[in-house]
Amino acid sequence: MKKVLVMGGEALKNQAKGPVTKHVLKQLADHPPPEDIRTIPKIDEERCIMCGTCINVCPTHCLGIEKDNKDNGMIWILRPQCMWCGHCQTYCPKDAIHIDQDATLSYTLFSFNVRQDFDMLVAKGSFKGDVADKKLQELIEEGGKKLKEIEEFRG
Amino acid sequence: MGWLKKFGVNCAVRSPWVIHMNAGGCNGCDIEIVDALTPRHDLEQYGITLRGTPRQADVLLITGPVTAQVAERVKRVYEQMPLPKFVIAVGNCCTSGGVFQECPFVLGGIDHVLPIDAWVYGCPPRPENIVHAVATLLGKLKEDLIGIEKKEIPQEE
Amino acid sequence: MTEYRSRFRSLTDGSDAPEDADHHIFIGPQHPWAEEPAHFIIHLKGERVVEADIRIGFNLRGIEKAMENRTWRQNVMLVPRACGICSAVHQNVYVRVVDRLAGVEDQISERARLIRMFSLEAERIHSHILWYGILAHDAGFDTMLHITWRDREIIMDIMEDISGNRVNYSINLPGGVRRDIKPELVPSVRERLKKLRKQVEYHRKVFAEEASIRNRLENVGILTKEDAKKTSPNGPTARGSGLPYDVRKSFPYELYDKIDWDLIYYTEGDVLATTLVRVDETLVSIDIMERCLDQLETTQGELLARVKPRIPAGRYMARAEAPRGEDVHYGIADGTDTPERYKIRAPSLGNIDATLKRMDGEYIADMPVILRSYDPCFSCTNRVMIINENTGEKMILNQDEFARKAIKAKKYNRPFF
Repeated sequence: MKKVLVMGGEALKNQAKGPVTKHVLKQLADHPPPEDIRTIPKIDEERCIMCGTCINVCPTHCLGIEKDNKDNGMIWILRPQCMWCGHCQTYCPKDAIHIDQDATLSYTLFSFNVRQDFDMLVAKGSFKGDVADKKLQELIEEGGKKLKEIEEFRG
Repeated sequence: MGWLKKFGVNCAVRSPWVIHMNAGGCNGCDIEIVDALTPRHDLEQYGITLRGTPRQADVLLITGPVTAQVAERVKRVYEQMPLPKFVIAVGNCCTSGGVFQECPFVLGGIDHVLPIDAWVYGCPPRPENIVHAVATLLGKLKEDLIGIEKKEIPQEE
Repeated sequence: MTEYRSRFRSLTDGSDAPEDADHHIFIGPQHPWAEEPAHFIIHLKGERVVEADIRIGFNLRGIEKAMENRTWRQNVMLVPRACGICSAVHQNVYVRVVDRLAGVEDQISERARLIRMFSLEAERIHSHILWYGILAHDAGFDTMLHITWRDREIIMDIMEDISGNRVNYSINLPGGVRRDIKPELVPSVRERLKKLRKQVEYHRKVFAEEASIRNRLENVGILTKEDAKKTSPNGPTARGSGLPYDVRKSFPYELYDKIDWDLIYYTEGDVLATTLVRVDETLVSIDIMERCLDQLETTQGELLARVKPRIPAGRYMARAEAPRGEDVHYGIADGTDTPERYKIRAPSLGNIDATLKRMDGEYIADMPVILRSYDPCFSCTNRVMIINENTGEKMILNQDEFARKAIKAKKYNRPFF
């Protein structure tokens, strides 16, 4: 008898409190992700000296570089491969690359086409504009070719 | 019977039943998928349940880089699912191998084995991201039902 | 010593059955019970289990081979992805091996060590709460799954504020830590830890006194102390059967010998004992975290000491207490910036024998609960399979046979086979 009373009391208490779960958008508004959550890197153009340390240190080999000297160059990233670890930020000598700038990316990053998702992070000096766009197109085409190879392999 | 098929697809898209399989991963993405069903981010309020058998499921959630031993089992599970069916790859390892891309026993991405409809980025992705991706995929598919008819018969033997 | 038939014999089919078994069933790589691919073969007589066997290897990604092609710095982010639930422990042991080989062990400040301990204990809490929530789900008590995982969000919020990610904290780096605990976060962290402690005490009351859980877990799968000594489990599986062994007390690392905490063990040996060991350890971990926060207010120090990319030659073995048991890493460096050989032995490998022994004579319906009781983490486990080229015969060695053959080979100076 005592057990039934205890259970009934708990049930009534939970009814009065209301449901715990909320709609997803309301949940995001009440518990937003913290400001310095780790996401995709972004590079500050003035500070970068094109040294290439971030490319050597990245564990997934998602960054790529093409440069002439410390004022002319470009760096691109393959977005789905980056695992948000933060090594590039720790080992950059000039503190130019940051991964905790944009918190909204943590819940909006998905896509329908993954082999062609390249992004140009920085393009300095003579590489700005046309050269950077052309390289991006080349990378996207190579991604498309790889996609076709994989589809043939799958059969 | 075009309208009957449309009705069936509409039902599947409104309240999809989900099955989850781990293709050789580290379990980080799996616990975020199970976390999406718990009271804080509640997937069941949209009508999504986690089933155990592929015969009762509409959507297959795959995690992990595909290892050589598991690839055959993943194909068998995919073939047992009835049409219409969709596949969502969760996590960075499914896209192109992630951190394990040059490892000896890893094939390098799930599109070597199955046709995929959507990818979710992250290591591991947040549960809100997974919910957002599922909802957007279903909304997109609802808009063009014609696309579903083209993808009907899988080309495996 | 009574006779003990060694496991890991059959490979894919159940044809190698004991004499009195009627039939066998498989629990395959995709199963509603498991989140990870593993293959169990269970030999039955009626409804009682005669023997059980296991086949693993679906998660074999070749991490140890891949580590030889990447630099020591890049491997810091590869090692925690061996397992997603005990990721901070693997990274901590790797970083301690590198610290010792590079010679910077004395330069790491006390503040960095306290932050490392904080993240290790936070991981223990989240792993134990995850485990006993899923155990309750296997035992049929679904309410506890939802209540415990809702309370698990508290600790994940705390670690998200501190490290930037919910799982895979990646705070440890060779020479110290990557990020600091800001002083303005500390009051909210303390408040949340108090709330968590109240909730975990409620969970303990449910597991110890609620009749429906006790009926499923009590006197099920008893592992006596003698059997435990023969099959040598480690971690909470051993502490639930009366063996008080914990790496944090026997070989203390970081600052575990400077902080005062209790060692928990029970002597009954059934599944309820291992459950209560883990619930009590969660409360002890909350204590340790609060003491770390107290001590952090008064210590200062730099966070990261400089470590060169090339590590001088040497070899070192380090171990730690993961939530599942004892985690051992062994690294060999040769003066360049890539490792020559690195070996990881995860805790779940040692617990498999003990669990298969637990299942002898039990009903088939108790099987999910018993298999869940040693907290299987198949992504960590790996094994050696040897194929004889001349005859094509495949052989799998378990821990005992491997050790015996290795000792004989070295003593009499003859080949391994």
